[in-house]
Amino acid sequence: MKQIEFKAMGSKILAILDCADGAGEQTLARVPAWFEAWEQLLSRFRPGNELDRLNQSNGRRMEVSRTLWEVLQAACSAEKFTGGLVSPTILDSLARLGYDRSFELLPSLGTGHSYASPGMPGPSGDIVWDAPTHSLVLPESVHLDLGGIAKGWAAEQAARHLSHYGPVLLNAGGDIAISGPLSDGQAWPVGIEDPFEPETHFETLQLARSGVATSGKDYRRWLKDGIWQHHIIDPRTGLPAETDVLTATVVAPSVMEAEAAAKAVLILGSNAGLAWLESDSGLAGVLVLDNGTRIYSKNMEKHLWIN
Amino acid sequence: MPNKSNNRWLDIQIILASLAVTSTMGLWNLFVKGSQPVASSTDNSNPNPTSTFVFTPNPTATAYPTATLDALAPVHLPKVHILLGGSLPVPVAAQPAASVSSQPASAPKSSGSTTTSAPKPVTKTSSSKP
Repeated sequence: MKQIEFKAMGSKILAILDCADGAGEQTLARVPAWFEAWEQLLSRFRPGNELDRLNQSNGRRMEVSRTLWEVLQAACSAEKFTGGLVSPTILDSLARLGYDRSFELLPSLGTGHSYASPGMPGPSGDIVWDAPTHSLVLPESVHLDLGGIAKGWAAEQAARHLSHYGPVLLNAGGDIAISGPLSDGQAWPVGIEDPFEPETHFETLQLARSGVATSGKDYRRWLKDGIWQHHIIDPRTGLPAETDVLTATVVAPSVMEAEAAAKAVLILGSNAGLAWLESDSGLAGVLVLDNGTRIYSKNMEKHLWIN
Repeated sequence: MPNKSNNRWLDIQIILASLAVTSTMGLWNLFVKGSQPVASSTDNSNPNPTSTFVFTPNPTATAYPTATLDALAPVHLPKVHILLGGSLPVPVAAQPAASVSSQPASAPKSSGSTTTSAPKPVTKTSSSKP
């Protein structure tokens, strides 16, 4: 079992490869470079990168790289999958609320900023796509943030590349892609962090080929004008989601679906979120509410490793 | 004057006699009724005493104000939760019973695994952290 750990995309990345192959180990060592390349394209905190140029295109047609095209398509799929609850068009809302730089650089007391009152995110349906040329027209009022989706996409891609050498688990800041069971047929044991005691986990999952992701308002929070804000924006209001869910963890066939679903459940709140989660038999999850209550979806049990 | 004084004393005697008779009858009736209805209302074979309690008219009963009869009947206290401090518990919002639990109900099916004890996780999922 080989593993590599590094920081990228504002998060801790861990890649574990279940093989003793030298070629696999060499490929594993290249994972940080892959993430750096993807971050350079997809991060909204890299001025002048391709995403930044697209956001500054002011309604002009722009041809984009295959990577950005794929992530944009994934973002639109996530939007469709969640009925619009997860949208890439929330950049302006995040910036207005004070999340305009990498999270580590945010002031703990953000009183020095002056932003206009948050408005509704522009609709992604207004984007004009041209698949054969990988070009698109982004309306002037629409600006994109690919944060969570980009991380999920990167985890999926890296896991897929590494899976040629053996079973892989790739954890990109809590979004976990798993290529299949371990070499001996066992499931991967994956903990779910307790948001009230981050050093511990309250549940252990047993996962084979799947994705798992957690969305939460427990960490990426900041104070703006005396009011706590968090980064999960409800596209229906352009404001941080008002929800009784502190963290939502979802197991899905892929990490990108898990990431989008976890965010949607968090935005919807416990009752509607659980109902939405259970309406899709491919999804399972556990919600930790603000008051500490944990709610498990019907089919979550099969993923749990009982102590 | 002596006649007037005698008349007043006579009046007092009549009043005292009336009070004595009334009190005697009242007390007697109290003790008599005190044994009968109580025994009836505590009869365990009757699941609902209030619905079958029959008051038998008794001539002496007229000496009682109706409030006394009411007082003999079993009193139904309203259902209240007495709390020693704190506030009244708020009922938990209804959740789909099948899907809500604080802990998993039973061991999950293990995918090819024979062990039921959880090993140390290789990693954790959490909300995104730097």
